[in-house]
Amino acid sequence: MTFKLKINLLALLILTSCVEKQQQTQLDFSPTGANSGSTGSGGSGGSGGSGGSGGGFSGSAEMETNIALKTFNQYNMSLSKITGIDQTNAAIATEYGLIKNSLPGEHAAANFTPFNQIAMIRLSGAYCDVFISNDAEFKAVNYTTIDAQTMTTKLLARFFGSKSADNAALYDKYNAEILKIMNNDAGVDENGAAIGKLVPVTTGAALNINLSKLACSAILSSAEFTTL
Amino acid sequence: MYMYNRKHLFLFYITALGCTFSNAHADSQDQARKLYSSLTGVNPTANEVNIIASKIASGRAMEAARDIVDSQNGIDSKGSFYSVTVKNFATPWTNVDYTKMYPLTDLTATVVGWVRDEKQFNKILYGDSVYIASGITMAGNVVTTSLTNSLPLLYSTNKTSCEGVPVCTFCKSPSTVNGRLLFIDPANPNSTQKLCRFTSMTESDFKAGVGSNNYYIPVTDSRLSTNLIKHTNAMYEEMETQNLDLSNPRILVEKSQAVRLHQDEKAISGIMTLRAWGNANYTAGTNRRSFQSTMKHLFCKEMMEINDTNTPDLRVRRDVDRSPGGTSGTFKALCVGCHAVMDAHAGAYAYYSFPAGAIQYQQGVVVSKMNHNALWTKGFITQDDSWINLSNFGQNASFGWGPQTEGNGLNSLAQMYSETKEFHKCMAKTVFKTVCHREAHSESDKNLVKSLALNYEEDNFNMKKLFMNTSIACMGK
Repeated sequence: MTFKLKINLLALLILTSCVEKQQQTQLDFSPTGANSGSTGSGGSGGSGGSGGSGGGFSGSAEMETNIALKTFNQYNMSLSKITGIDQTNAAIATEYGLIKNSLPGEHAAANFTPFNQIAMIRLSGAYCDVFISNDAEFKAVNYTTIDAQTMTTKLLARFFGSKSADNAALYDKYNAEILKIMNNDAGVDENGAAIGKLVPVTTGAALNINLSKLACSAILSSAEFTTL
Repeated sequence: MYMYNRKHLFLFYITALGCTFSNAHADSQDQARKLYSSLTGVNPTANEVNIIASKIASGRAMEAARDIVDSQNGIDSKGSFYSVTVKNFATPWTNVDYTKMYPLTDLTATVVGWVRDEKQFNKILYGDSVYIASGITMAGNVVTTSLTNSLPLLYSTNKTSCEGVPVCTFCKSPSTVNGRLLFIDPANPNSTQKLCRFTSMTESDFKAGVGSNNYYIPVTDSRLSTNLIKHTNAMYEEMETQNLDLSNPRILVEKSQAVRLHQDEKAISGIMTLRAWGNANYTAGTNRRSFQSTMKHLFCKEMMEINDTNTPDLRVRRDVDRSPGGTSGTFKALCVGCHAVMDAHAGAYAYYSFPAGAIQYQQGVVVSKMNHNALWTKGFITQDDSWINLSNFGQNASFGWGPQTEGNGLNSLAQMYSETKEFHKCMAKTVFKTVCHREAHSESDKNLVKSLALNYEEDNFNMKKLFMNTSIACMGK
């Protein structure tokens, strides 16, 4: 239950990595290469959890040509494939049934809403809940002793791949964001003041398990996995 | 020479124009990711990227695309090309809201089957075909666990009893089945009560299925009964709930619409006489919605795009007011433009309706809604299912209509549609939107779609190849 309550807090953290993906995507997939300087507005996409419906992107025409959201069933299938959890799993099927209508129905990023983002976080949370509890590799982890960086590396290796020359910059940004979650750091508010902890438990296996699920969800609901 | 030039034109567009919106400097790894996600809607694994990239780098992109589509040679796309991409392609055709967020239907499943089996896709408009579930696989999850731990599946060749369980009274053709199967009801996996069903599998097929961790539920399962598709969509929704692999030809099989959907073979006309199409188009109204849906989904045209006020109005029905708002000018300047074209085709739907959740077809009986509301008594009265194409001249001649200009019944109209150039272009345009994730608005995209449509015709309307060609065109260079 705590896990579900905390899911919403992830939005701010996740949007940071979403913006990174949008920025990179615009750079990489520009029709002419001329719009590489137009990503400055990306920062506003993260503010207020707008989900990029407005300020997070540099223009409707570019969005439609450069970025395609995964539709509801594409996202569900993607999560199923990467976690190895079948879509017919009871917990997954129930959650998917509840939030399916809030997931994107079309690819156009111009139509992306905060409801879409929250629904994606919820679905990734459902998958991660089952994944961390049941996946052989993660089930075997000693959650009492594991440190934040080790779990961060483990999650990134599983979902993102190892760090290489091709992905070093993006990998480092992911690593920094996920490490914050694994350190139970909820970040700062608009005034720069620390918000506090993501999970109100100080130590122990339960803390690390919950943080691992949150970190997993943060990765899987980031733009690397929610866009095509 | 002509064919040679068109092939080269297509290749030119793919290499020179098709990728202008994608990464102009994409390496083969980026291309591999793009190709995979275009065709499946999901992300590839690192290993899959390497396999695909290797083939792309050696000039075998088409081979890589086929591996992705058919989940083979080291690629495990889990049938998502069919269950996600092709489903998203066809689902808007099945409902009045034109949304993708709609359950699997007989129409969607049939389109999936035609793509998977590489059938000549233009014939899907009039062929006698419906794809249904058969030999349902139940790999993984709670059912397997329960079966393994407590109640294993049992196969019996006894045709008259099923291990003491009463014979299923709804099984229609016991002589055609190979045996019986006991299994745990997936809806109630903890129950100790076993269900008994006929199966069309042989014993060796069954054992092979068990050996590969696939448990097959026979065709006459109560919730997946093939006898029920006329009145309900439940079988297809259950297929989706169980996440069945639509790429498996043992699960999704082709059957005739005869008996299952229609008692009269004259009623049958491809996807236009499947239940989902009927539910969306033959319910209430005046039977004109089917024409509108045909224009929108199969010709990519909104009604206003086909409005041609120069078309003869001899078939405009009585329910169209010739003086809307008290002035005949509106009729002549606007209404007649659509109705003259539409009503001339819509006669083909005269015997169809959709009462009580199923398509009803009565040969020789014009449904009453075709002649309701006689606002203009001198208007056309529908007396049979004849149709006439009045659009071979004027602006709509650009459709490149099929050669037949008149006929009786939906099947002949659909055959004419199947030979219409605009239908083939629309399919290319819709596939482009599905896998490239944007409308073909730019000149380069429009030219690409034109060349894809030409190639689709030369490939004998192989829709799977159209998907693969289009994805390759959009993967970057």
